[in-house]
Amino acid sequence: MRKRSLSPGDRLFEWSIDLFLVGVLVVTLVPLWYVVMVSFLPFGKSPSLFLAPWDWSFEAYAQLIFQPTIWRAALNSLVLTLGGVAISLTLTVMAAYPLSRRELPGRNLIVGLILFTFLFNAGLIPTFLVVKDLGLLNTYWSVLLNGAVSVYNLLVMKTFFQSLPESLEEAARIDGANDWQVLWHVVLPLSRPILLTIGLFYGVANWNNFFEPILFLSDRSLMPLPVVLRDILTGLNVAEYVEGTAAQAAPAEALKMAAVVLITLPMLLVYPWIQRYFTKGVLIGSVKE
Amino acid sequence: MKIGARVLCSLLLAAPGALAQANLTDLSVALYAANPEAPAPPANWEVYRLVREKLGINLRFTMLPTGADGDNRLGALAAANDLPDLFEVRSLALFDRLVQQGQLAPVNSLLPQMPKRTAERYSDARRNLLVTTNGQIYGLQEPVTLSRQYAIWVRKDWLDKLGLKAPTTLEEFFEVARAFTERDPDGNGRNDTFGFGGVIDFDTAGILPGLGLGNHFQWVYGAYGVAGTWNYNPKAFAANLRDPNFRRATEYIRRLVEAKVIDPDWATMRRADLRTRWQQGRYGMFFESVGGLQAGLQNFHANNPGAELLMLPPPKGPEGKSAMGTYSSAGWLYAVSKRAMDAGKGPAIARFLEWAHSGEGYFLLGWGRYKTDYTLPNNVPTINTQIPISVRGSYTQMRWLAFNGNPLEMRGRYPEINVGGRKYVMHQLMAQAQRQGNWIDRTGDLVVKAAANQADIERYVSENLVQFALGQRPISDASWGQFLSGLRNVRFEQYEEAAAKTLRESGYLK
Repeated sequence: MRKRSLSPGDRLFEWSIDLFLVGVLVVTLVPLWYVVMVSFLPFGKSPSLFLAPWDWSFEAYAQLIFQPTIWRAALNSLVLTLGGVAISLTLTVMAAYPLSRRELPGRNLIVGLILFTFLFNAGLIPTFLVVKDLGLLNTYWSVLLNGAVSVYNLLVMKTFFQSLPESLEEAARIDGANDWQVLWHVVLPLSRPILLTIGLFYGVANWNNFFEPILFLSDRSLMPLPVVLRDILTGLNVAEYVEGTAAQAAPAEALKMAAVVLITLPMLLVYPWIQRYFTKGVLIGSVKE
Repeated sequence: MKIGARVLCSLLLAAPGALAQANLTDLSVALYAANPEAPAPPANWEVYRLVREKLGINLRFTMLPTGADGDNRLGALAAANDLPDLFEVRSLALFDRLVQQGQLAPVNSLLPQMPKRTAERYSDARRNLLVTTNGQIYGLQEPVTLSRQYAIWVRKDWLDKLGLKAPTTLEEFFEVARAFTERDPDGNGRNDTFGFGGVIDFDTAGILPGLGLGNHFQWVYGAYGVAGTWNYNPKAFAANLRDPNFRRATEYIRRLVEAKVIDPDWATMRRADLRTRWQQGRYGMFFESVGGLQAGLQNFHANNPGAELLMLPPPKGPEGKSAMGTYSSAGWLYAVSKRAMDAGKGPAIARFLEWAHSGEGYFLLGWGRYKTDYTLPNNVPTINTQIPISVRGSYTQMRWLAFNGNPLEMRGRYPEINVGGRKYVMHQLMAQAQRQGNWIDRTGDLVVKAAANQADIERYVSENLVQFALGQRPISDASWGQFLSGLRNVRFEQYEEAAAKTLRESGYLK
């Protein structure tokens, strides 16, 4: 294909767009780069954007990674993330699919009630009471089930299901498929983009979950990574009366940034695998035709 | 038949255990982690076994999340009527709320049941006033053991190199700080040192920061005779910030900032950042606790060979006054839930606390496993530093229940350290900081209830003072007057009146 010749004005315009986007890229990358650089900061050096390769220190990472509590916490986070994604996706699909069908009686009322919870939250204490009365305190279930379905994700998925051609479903029904078979054999195979996208949303939310574990869990061996990392960093501030080794081995800035990198890395690694579905999933789900 | 006999035998064998089990009192204890890096004690912790066998208590220990998250958790547990039997409270506002809600039990009846502990910890009537409502004591208010351990430290090697003397007055402090900033005291040819390092810090155990710029700058206000929030003058009680000297102290801080002798990040840095920077050797003088110093000495000397530190007494102001700051004599606070007391767990709680106070309980909770985590040469508990705190710390997560600040304990916790060719006797430095700081006891501050808009008041004062200190607002009669008159908008007068009334009623203001 021959490239269309551009007028000088058009060329200038395109260059300005490129320049602007490069600017946006730099603005986005600089803080991330800074975080990574500072995480390798040795004692005696000031935080900066560039660190000579011979100045790099892995001490902050070593201090965090070799803490006896960290691997158990990572395992807890993994269980909570994978379990949370499985439960949340299952519940969201099972709620979104019927709500996307026009023939469901009382559909608008149900959607309205769900929306109500989106606008008006029950609050901390009532939520705690429900979790307690269900006997879920100090179990993974308290974290996994509380807020397992996000209304936003539910609505996005419902809209996606509505956008699927009804004729496909009708064809399946003519072949004798029931609701479950339609969902399993027709709808879900066509919904991979939205499942992966919403799954990533749930995954990130579960991986980063901090507040619910500290509220509902009292056994320290059940705590996920963000809570344990925070506890280690807490020691940096209270050397007046608390003994700590991490703060003596690496600068406070490096420890904080290394914790940020460690907590972010797993999600960053997953993201490229799902990225190609990401835009598609959200966009399709967001437009109702 | 054989099977039946076996079952019968096992039932008979199990019976005494089952009976003993039936006599056990379940006791849930929730404390903030004493060692945040370490996990909870293991299930086979010796303490669980000993407490069960000797005290008849089935102990269940959980650790509260640090900071405001711990308050949130306790608040939620209270709402669910599920508070632990014995627990630690670090927020006095939460404590007051729990008292008002009827969630806490008076502990008056427990005190005679633990005579040793009460005599040494809970017998100060003035301090008990902090946790007294309608004549009932609702909390076990510990005395503070580590307060007043803060000081300004100066690099003596830099003083010597530049031919300067340790500053004793604010003016001398200013000149020394300027020399440390401008005369390249570390001799690296770069302009990378500062005269003074401190941060805005309100959250320090045992120290009362007052309104404004926090603990690290209280020595300036102390030099002008206006350290702390209130002036405690019975004839003209008021907030110190109304005193003209409060403005003069703020002007002095402005001078330090303007002359660029303070680390320019002071207004946004955290305490942990400050620690990293003094250890890097960037400050000629800095505000730090003895404990914080102890934790950072190894790195400090590794980064600064030949360095020497000296503790400064608080610099004197124009009228010869000086104080490093104000402090409270109140330490950790423990509470007993009403539910626990109603269930008859009071005697078990008293038994456990008395056991933790001295002897076997004290050593197990405070120091961990004998000959593993610590030894006792010359009766001084000496930590085995070969075992990292992340492992050793599991066994001392309840140490604050045990520690009482006795001299041997202080020697064990703050030992002699030889590093970088220098000798630091940490417990002596601790005593020196307490003695020479001219600290002002303002325990009474804690009886003053927080105003409904306390956060607004604190933000208003702090933001204005930071603006003055940074030069974002010039300090003039007009701008200072505007700042003082703006106090009305945050209903400061009502707060002052309420404070005066409470302090008079409690006897702290006579």
